[in-house]
Amino acid sequence: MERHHILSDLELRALLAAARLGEEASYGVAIHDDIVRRTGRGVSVAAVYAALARLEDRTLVRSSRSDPLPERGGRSRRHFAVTPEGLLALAEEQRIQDRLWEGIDLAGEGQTGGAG
Amino acid sequence: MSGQGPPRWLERLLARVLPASHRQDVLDDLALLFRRRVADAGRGRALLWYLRQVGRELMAVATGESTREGHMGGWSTVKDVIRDGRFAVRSFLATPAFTVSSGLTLVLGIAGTTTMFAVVDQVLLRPLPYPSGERLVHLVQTGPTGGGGLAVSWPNVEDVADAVDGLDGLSAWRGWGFLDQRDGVTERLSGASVTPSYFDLLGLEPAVGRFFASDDVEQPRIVVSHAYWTGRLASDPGAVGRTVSLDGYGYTVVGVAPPGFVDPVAAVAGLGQPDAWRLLSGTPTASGRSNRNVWSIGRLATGVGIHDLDEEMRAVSARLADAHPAENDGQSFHLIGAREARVGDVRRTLLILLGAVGVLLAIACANVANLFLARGTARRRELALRSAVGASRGRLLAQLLTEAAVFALAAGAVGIVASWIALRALSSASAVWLPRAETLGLDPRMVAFALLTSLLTAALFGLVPALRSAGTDLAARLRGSRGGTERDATRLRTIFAASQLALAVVLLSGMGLVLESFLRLTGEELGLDAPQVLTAEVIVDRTVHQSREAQNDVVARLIEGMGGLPAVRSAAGINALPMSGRVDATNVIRAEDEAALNDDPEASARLPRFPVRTVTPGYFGTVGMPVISGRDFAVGDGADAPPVAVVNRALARHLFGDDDPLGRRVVVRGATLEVVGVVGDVRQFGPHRAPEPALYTVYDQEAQSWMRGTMNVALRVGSESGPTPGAVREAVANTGPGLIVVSVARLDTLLGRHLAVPRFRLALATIFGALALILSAVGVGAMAGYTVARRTREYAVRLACGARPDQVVRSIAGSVGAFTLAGLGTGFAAALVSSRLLTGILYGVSPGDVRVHLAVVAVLAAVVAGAAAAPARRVLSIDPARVLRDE
Repeated sequence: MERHHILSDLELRALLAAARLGEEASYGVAIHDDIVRRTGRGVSVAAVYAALARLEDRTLVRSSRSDPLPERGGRSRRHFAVTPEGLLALAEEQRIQDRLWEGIDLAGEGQTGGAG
Repeated sequence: MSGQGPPRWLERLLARVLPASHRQDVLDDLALLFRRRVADAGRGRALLWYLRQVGRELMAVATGESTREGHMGGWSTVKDVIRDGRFAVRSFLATPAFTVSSGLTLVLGIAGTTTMFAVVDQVLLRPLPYPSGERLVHLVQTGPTGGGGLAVSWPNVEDVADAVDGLDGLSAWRGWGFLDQRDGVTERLSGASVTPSYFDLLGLEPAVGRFFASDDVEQPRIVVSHAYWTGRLASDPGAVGRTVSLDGYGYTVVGVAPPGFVDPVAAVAGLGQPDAWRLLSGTPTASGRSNRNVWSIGRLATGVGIHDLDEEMRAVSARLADAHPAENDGQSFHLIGAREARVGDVRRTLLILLGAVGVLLAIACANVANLFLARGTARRRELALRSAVGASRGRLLAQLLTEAAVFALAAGAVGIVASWIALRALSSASAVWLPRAETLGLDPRMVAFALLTSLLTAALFGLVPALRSAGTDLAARLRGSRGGTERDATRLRTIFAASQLALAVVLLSGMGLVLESFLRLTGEELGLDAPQVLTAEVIVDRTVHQSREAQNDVVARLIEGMGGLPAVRSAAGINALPMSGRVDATNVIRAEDEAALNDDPEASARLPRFPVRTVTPGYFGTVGMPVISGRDFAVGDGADAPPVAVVNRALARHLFGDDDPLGRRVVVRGATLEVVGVVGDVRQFGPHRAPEPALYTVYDQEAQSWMRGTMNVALRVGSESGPTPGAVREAVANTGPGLIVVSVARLDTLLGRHLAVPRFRLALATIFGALALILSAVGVGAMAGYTVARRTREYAVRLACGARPDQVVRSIAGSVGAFTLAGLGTGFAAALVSSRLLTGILYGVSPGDVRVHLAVVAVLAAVVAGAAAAPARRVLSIDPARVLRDE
């Protein structure tokens, strides 16, 4: 099997958000919002864009410009859609995670503190 | 756009730093989110959010996270460090016991080191606070036996000043105590008599008026201190030119010294800071070449080092010896830097203290390292988990080191505060023994030092445990098994515990020696019975009581009046109390030698000088000095009676050997006195100096006016507390006018001042010793507990299989005993070597005193035994079946 993609935390989160939101709804602010809401932590907007740009470089997502928004001063938005390679990468990532967590029982491990 | 957008300047700031590829998208999104928040929560909250977001964006830029390439995933990025730091804080808060115990340990170490470093820096290293203060020097005169000091004679100061080209000037300085009488209040103040160049030589500018000029010589003119000017002269700018009355004489004020000026000679001489300076009167020649009654201070010429003048000083010494053989033969003159002179004996004490805190810091590091190791062991599953989810070894190492650094920096911050408090306390409490204590304080360099020390210690105590914890077999750890690394960690912990013990032996041995030395010092017989004696220092104003008869009369009435106070058993006076340092010394020769010595000025110049004091009848009995033979002075020894003297045992032996001194005649300052009594020796200069020969005259017969101006009245009280200072002052006032009470104090308090330095050393040594003991007890206790806990299961099995409890105890003793023996043995050897540093400050005990060192080893062994006893008891009391079931 071909060498799987290694994703950074933020790349994985952005890719998951894009997959979840679907092409219509996945533009910069929405992906940022999704990450913030699900992790409960603030994140740099520019970092999200950078992560999406890296994902696009690796053809895990593709982007397109929308028409200008129908509001005052509206601008065009960049939308992101997960490619089939992106979905494969997510599946691979999930398998790795599952394997990693196999046989781990966190209950009763009070000493370990908040590993985040 | 409407005013609902984010602040433009923040947007412009962001626009500057954001990567061009998505700059506009980011700004637009942020503006959109901002407007939403304004609508939801109001502009204030939205602004707060926007500011936080800008921070996040800047951080993302800083870490490279917001560039297309992304950050490299290494551990060197700011963001990782910050995240690790946050995590560290959370994990430390989660284990408060660990955090507090090892944190305090470290705070003590860091605060101690910083404080001592500040003291050493500010006392030993910094130049004195005068313009080009490093060029100030004192003249030192050394005799053939090596004895000598900063007290020199005025003619020699003048000759050296004239002869040495490398000196820009050399001034003579003599202490001067005076009575300041204004508005009916009389106060005794310190002053100094100096030569005209004194202030110019220091490079000072007067606050008001001027300093001395050469035409002020023999004029009653003074320069006053800034404190005197603001106090007694009410900061009057017109005070210059005014006449003030000192000692009953009028002096014209010519100038005011700058505020905060510390007279360097008074400081070196250990005399009170002057409130007034006048010019030395008379001529150098009249002052006498053998009379070492002045101090000196000079300034090296620009570009001249102190040792550049060594050759020249040797030549000058030879010339002075040739020109004045009677006084200067065998005397050599050299220069010493003013700072060195000022710091003097303290250098050694301070360096020893710095060493001691260094050792303390090392103990603290070993302790914390040990605790971190233990923590690493407890956290091995967490670390393995992090490793499993993708953290590299470097990343884990960075995390553990960051934790150590966060920990150390927090300890450092607390340490800085503690050190600041300690320095404030030292600065006010140590003026007695520590020169320049008044300048002590924390400055930015000390803060930097403390932080650097923290980071260094973090590296020390963090690195080894981190390497241990970060680089080990993951699978083994996840399984929870104890692999080879566990054994390594145990070995490391053993080494830490042993080194801790060794260092504790070193510190405690130092403390033991200082304690032993203090006990010897306080155990010395002083030669008098101080606890029941109250003293009042009374000045006889000779402008009121001018004739000797009048003085004799008022002193007799004074003694009588004081003797009549309730609870006073006897009263008598002496002009200078023992150990007060105010004694007058002169030659004392046998009458039969007088003629021969008159013909031999060289021999008479070399005669030793002995302290001479004048007392009133009954003094010896009052202070508890035994009259060994002959008699005390009596009322009959009046001004017209045959002149008599009492000698102490040491002087009797010096002058007359084993012959009976009673009835023999001695010559003192030209007067021939008959020895009528021999009294016991008193340690005149403090408990650390053997008693020296001394002679006593009786006040009514004493002809020297300077011996008659002060009377210390000693009052022997019964077991009751005796009269209050107020009652004493009242009794003096009732005697009549012209008597001024300077102070009332218990004699043992006065004598106790001589123990101030040893007592301070003892206090410091005790603090260090106690800390070392506590820290090592904590460390060793933890180690013993750990050692036993690790083998609990094994012990349980052995007990279950029929092992006797004493066999288990022996096994525990064996495993704890190994590192204890190693630590104590190493420490014992190290202490034998290191305590040699204490040589100069010990009294009556040798640094290599094996009893002291062995006692320390025994104490620490007991501490270890105590620390190991608790876990051992736990093992014996457990139910083997339960342990095995739990496993």
